Amino acid sequence: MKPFQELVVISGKGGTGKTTLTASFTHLAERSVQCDADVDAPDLWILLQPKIEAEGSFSGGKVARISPEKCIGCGLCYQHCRFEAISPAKEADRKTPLPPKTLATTSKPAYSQDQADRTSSPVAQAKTYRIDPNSCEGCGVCQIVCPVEAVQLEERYSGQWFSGETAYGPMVYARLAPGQENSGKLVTLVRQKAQIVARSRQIPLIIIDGPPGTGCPVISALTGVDLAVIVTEPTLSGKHDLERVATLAEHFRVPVAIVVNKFDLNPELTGELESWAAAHSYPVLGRIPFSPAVTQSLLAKDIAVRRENPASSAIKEIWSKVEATLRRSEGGK
Amino acid sequence: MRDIAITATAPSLEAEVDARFGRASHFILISSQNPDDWEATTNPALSAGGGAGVAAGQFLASRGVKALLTGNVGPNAFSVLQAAGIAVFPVNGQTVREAYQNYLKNNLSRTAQPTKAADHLH
Amino acid sequence: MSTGTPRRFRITVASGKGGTGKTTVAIGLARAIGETQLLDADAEEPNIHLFFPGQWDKETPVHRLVPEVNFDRCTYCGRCASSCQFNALVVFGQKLLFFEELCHGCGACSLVCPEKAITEKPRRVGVIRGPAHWGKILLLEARLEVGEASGTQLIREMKRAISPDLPAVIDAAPGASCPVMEAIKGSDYCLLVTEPTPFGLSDLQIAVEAVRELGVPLGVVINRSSGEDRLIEEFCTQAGLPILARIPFSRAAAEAYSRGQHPIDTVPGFAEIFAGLWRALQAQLEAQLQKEGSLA
Repeated sequence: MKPFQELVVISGKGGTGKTTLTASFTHLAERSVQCDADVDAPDLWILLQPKIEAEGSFSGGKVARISPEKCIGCGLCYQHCRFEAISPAKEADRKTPLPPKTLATTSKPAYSQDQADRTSSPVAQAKTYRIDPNSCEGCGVCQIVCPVEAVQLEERYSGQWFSGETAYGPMVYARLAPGQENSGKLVTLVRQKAQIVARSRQIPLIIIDGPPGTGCPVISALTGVDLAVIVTEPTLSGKHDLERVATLAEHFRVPVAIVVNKFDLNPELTGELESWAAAHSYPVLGRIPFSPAVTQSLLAKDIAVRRENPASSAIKEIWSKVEATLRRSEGGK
Repeated sequence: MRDIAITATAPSLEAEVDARFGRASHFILISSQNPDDWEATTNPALSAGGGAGVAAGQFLASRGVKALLTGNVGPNAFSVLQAAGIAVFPVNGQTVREAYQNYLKNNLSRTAQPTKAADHLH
Repeated sequence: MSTGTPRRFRITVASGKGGTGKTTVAIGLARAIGETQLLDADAEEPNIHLFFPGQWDKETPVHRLVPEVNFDRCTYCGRCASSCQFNALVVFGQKLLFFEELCHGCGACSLVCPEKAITEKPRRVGVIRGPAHWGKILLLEARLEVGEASGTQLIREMKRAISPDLPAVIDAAPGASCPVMEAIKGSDYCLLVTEPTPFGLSDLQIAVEAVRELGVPLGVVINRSSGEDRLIEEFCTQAGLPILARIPFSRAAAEAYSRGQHPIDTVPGFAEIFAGLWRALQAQLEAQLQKEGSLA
């Protein structure tokens, strides 16, 4: 039996109030390990104000680098790169917009119109070639075709992780560097760090601020947790994303519970969301009214539930149901 | 022959079984014939960007593992394990030692399906 | 349009995080411009279509190349699997497994195969829907196939479909990921939509850092402004970023949005706000033109 429980707050669509709710849960739980798994745009630290005690760099993949002194300017790398990451060095500085072309047809699929052009016309050979790390996918094809071993594949810098202490306990979070692919690897890293500290400091609850969306990062935030609270809003895109992310959680056998935020902006759609939830046996923990007071708290970098207002009362009720659910599942194991 | 693999949250027989496979933090490789013949290894697939489950499956195949005890296995990883002839036994809320003993006593049931992650929803 | 503004400019609307109102701004701006192309480049979750009452008559599939193994020639040597940086190929014993959705389509495997056993076949990445007529707007949408990891190539293809005869407004996905960078690359201007909260500021800072690397001129639009936007204003002053519009918080607009209606049609004052944004943007474009002699 693991010595702690894990609660994740996810939303499918971004901007539904996930981080605001996670911070409120943290306050109501009083003691926990906090983990911000939204590594693309971490915001939880703004409300919890951790004192950083350690940090480190993270690599999500590889990036290729050409050694100009070895390069003989043959252009084979440029011809074979499918991601437009390689260019002749003298051109690399010029801002080149894409030429207006028609959509590629599927009768003979070149990888892309650009590549078809590049391989079919003679290449003006430059002295050397440069790799744009923002476009490079680290596939290694340039290294394979280079006749003089002038290309190296290196671990790229993809982001930074941080661990520290808040008023509620230890916190772990991370920031992916801009333009980096989010494969879920960094999410896994912050979750594992949170689990290590929960174990060593015997803290029985990890609260995870999950990433938006339904892709690999969310999967990494969901696996093995005891409860996923999905925050949704009564809009068309909110409903669509609720369905997708609930289905995802179910596939990973994670119990799901739903919170409807800003429900009074569209009570009719809120009703539809709740009917859908009932039809799938997902408990609705509560509805939070739209409240300008919550925005006021946020502007003051304060946690919403610390101030009295209709939204806070709803959040407190929701939290007591979350606690009850977690206690029941603990007993069950 | 260390023919059983168990995902673990720490390199110890008393650790909990890690619910993940592809991104499990450790593997315990242990012999079904001799409980003292075991080793712990960090999961080499952790450094993978995508396809961690596939890489983890390939690792176990290369070590001659015959059975895997773990929480969740995604469809790609499951294909690799199936092709390598590795039987998968889902385990919930146990330590590595408990899972191993349950396996030997035939208390665990083999799964024929991955934990259905469906269309790799994006 | 004033005579100084070039016809074929391209604007990308982006944001540091989801839910800031990027799509609302993109549609509002396109409506204010009048005759323009509007491209939905949020390929994973295109949502402009939720406001578009018409039909998509045209759909163009986009493909990438993935390996196909000729098992008559394959010796299971495993070189292809070792060369794959993405774990899309696994070889052991007399078995070879290929995982299409992990494949990045780089071609490494077919290059290294000593038996020339690997050729390449197209795999559908997604579709470009449109162009469809929406009033004066010509609408295009990039829609990623379920299971595909990245919309970058799809967006690159969609950009090729941009007509040189009309301006173009591109609605990027939220965040600073690869497909977003592709949607911004080569544009004449990038609008970053933010909300005047500490979260909005933090995510704006991340977005600015990413976009600056692309060398595209930047401006900010504050959405859900309460009139007290000091947080964002201070940052913009410091960073030398113009604020092109402040869209006030409006409960009526939020309710309309939840019903799939754009506030420009349902909330008084919004048409003038987007007209103001367009005027401010024109001024920026003209200044760019004067500075550089031509765009891009």
